Amino acid sequence: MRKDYSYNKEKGKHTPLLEVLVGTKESRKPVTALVDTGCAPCMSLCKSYIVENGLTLMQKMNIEPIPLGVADGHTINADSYKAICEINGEQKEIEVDVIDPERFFVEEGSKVGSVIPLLGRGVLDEYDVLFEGKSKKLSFYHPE
Amino acid sequence: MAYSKMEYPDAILKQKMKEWGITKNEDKALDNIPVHYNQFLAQNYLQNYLRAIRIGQRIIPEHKEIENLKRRVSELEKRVGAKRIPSKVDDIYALFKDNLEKECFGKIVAIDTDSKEVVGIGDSILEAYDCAKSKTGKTQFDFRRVGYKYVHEV
Repeated sequence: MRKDYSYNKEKGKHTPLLEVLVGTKESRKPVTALVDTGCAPCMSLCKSYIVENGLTLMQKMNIEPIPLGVADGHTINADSYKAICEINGEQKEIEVDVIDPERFFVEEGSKVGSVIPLLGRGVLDEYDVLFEGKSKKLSFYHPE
Repeated sequence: MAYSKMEYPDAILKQKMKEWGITKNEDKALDNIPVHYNQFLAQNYLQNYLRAIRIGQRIIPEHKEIENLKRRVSELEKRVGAKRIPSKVDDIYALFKDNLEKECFGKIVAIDTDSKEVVGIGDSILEAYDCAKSKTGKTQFDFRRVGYKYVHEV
């Protein structure tokens, strides 16, 4: 699979975004996610994104919130859900971490508003991914 | 951006004073001209101010800049130095911490808070969850990454 980078008119930037279908076995919705090698889970979303887009996920796996380390040093809370992710017609069971900025760790405070969904290494590690920065293309290959 | 009081070396100062019209008589021995330093500073400040206005820079008073820096340092201290209050899961994890760090550093463990046991280990939450579910039959657990204060990095 080879896709062009998406062009963000407001920022005047090309970014490696990929549209994947996420949801349950019965119903899935398209989610445009940033392909991010610095994101360890399969996919991470903000709770507000799920509410706004009416996304349905499967089983919630955790009881207490899961601490996630953010690159700037903060620790934020997330809930981890099972979901089905469809990339180029291929379905996989993935874990989706839903970040809830309202349930922040009291010691730090909340500053997270809403971020673009991230497609992380949990999914990327299943493929050979090539960022063709010069020609602004993103390629996903199946490792032989 | 604040403009610090700067002192030019004598030669440059004299040159600048000539350029800005503070000393008009070039023939006069410059050494004998009293340096009206306040006047010089005022003019220097005014020039910088006008330059900043011309190129659209924001002028932030010095004390504001210091306040801003202090706020950023305190934020950084809070962020880096903050320690999470241990939860029930953290207490249970602490019981197995030493063994786990020896045997499976970096793996994710599923913890059952009712039985106070580690019930699943895996490379991902999904793996640890499936392992714990098949072992206990329960559908929800708590997760920690062995040796780290967070489960994932984003």
